Amino acid sequence: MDIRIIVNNKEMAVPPGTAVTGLLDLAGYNCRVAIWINGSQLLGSEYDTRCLEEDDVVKILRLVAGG
Amino acid sequence: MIDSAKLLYVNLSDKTTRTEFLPGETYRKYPGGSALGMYLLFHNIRAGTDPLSPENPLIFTVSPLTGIPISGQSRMCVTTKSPLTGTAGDSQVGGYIPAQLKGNGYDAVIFTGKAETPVYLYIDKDNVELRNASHLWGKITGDTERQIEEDLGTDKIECSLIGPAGENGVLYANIMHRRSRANGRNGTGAVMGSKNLKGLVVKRQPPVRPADPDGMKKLTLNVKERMAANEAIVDLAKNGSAGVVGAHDVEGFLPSFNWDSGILEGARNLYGSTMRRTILSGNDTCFGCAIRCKREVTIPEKADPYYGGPEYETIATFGSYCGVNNLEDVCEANQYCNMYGMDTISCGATIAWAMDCYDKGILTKEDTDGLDLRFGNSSLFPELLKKIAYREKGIGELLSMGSVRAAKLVGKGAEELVVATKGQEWPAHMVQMKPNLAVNYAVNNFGADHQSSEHDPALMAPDDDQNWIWPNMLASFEKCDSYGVLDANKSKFALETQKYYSMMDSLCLCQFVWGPAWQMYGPQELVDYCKYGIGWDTSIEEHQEIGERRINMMRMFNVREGFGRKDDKLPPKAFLPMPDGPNEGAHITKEDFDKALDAYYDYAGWDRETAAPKPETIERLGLEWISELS
Repeated sequence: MDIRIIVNNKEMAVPPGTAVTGLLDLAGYNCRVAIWINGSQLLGSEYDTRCLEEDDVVKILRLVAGG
Repeated sequence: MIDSAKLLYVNLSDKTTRTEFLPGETYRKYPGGSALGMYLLFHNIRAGTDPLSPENPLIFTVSPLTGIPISGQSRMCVTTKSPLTGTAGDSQVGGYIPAQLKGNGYDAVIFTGKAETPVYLYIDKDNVELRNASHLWGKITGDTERQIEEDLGTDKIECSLIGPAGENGVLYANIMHRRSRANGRNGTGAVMGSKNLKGLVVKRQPPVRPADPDGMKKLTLNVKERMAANEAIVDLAKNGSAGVVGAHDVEGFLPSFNWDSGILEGARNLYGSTMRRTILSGNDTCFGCAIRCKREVTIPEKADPYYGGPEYETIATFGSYCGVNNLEDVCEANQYCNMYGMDTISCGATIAWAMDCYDKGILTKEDTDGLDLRFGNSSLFPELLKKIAYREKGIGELLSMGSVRAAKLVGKGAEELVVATKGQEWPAHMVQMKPNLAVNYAVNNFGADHQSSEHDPALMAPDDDQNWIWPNMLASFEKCDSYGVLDANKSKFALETQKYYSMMDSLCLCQFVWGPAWQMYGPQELVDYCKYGIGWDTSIEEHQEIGERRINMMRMFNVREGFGRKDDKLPPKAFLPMPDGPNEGAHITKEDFDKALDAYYDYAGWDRETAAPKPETIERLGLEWISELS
């Protein structure tokens, strides 16, 4: 059964064991991002390993530079 | 080490040329590009000079690093007094002519005076000639280039040219190189036209050799791996700068409808990925660069790849600014601008301002020569751009002077709709998302510019990300975890990264390749490049000081011209909360901006009231000589 999390103030359901990179795929992020879970920022090296848990509050911001 | 700089002076009035050498110890303080350009501008202009008079010099500069084969080194700066802003004028171009100007042995070409009849300058090492350009006057850029190739009997040349817009004095006319690269901003093309100077043409020469070829290989041999490991560079190679369209759109920060919104319905049509899948016919590049970010598009009857393809800024100004989601029409507008020689940012933004006026009834069909100037009507671009380039009486002449001057003439509230600083229209990055740019757009000495500091998201990057690590090699910053934050930390970030970008505009480096955050090569690698490339033992600290010195030179120039804190300002629309989208409500306040501006001045060593560098700042940077000039 999917777990429920909050992503950028919106509720979202993801399969148990979903890592942050999986969430990014599900949510359609295809660029560099910064991520906070429950107020703590993740290292980039944690995106592949940090699995989401029920009621996690996730904030994702795109790192958009110049052009 | 930095050798002396070889300067070529060209007096157009009496058709004489001469070379001079700037000693190496001086060149090290002003090592090319914009820094050298400002040094030479100060020595060749008097205060109060009319930008379109013969007394305004037009200066092309490269740097000691230019032409050494590595990605992102082939850039050339043009410095003059801007007719658009009245400030120190500055604009950069990439491509091939920078490396080839250096290959011919020159660090700078300084044009003074005015030719009696149209000419262009041809350089083949020590053979320097002013050639007749009467038969080229009036021609669009591509036709001019083809004719010069035919006249010279060779295509082994590189050209920087003006089109009809520069000849006719459009205040945001640019100087085009290879039809798709521009010294785009500040109206440098109008200065060139005022001198009856059609072009700068150089013969191709063998590449410059590095001082330490083996050392250089440490930076160049692994370039494919470097590119593959950097997501931003991968996207740049894949989608060009247009890759930014999508990221701004999904966050609701794609400046639309003359900055009233960050949302454009159908914006997906404008994405870099859409361009790649539909009309992209080639990826072009600059001398020695592996990234190949330049676009070439083919649209039958509308767009010829000879004129390249649109960058992000062009897609935004002719697209979302104007409420247009038709990519083909944007590409067509881009091509006309490149043919006529007009800055796509100021041109598109000025048209968007006019559409806003039309939408609000400030301009009517009586003012627009009957054109239906409503948002979204991209079908009028070809006709309107021709009217602008040739400054046809009516709407063409009005818009040829840029939105600030046009709004003053129109009145009736039109000035409230302008989005510009120091007379230059804003590039397409919303300060509600990137508030550090509010400070940068306000203080930047040649008007609002998106390539004069790093953007805020670097302060959001994870601790183990180069986007966070590299800026903190310049100074220590605090982390930021949301959009819309404008505080002293952002002011410090604006200044310190502005110094770095200022240094890059002096060493003539591409800011998509070299930089302090997301780019392919970072601050320490630039130090290494200086050593391997030209044997210059330098440091990040020296680089920062070079950048700071150039910023202060520009500021001193502007202060001498009467600019001050009153000109370091934001337009009213900068303070509008985002009206819709995923970041609805994001905004900056006037109070926070004023505080951030004070903080910037304090960090910069400038007076809060006058916005001028304090005497101790001038002394620290060794710029006392400026006040001794007449």
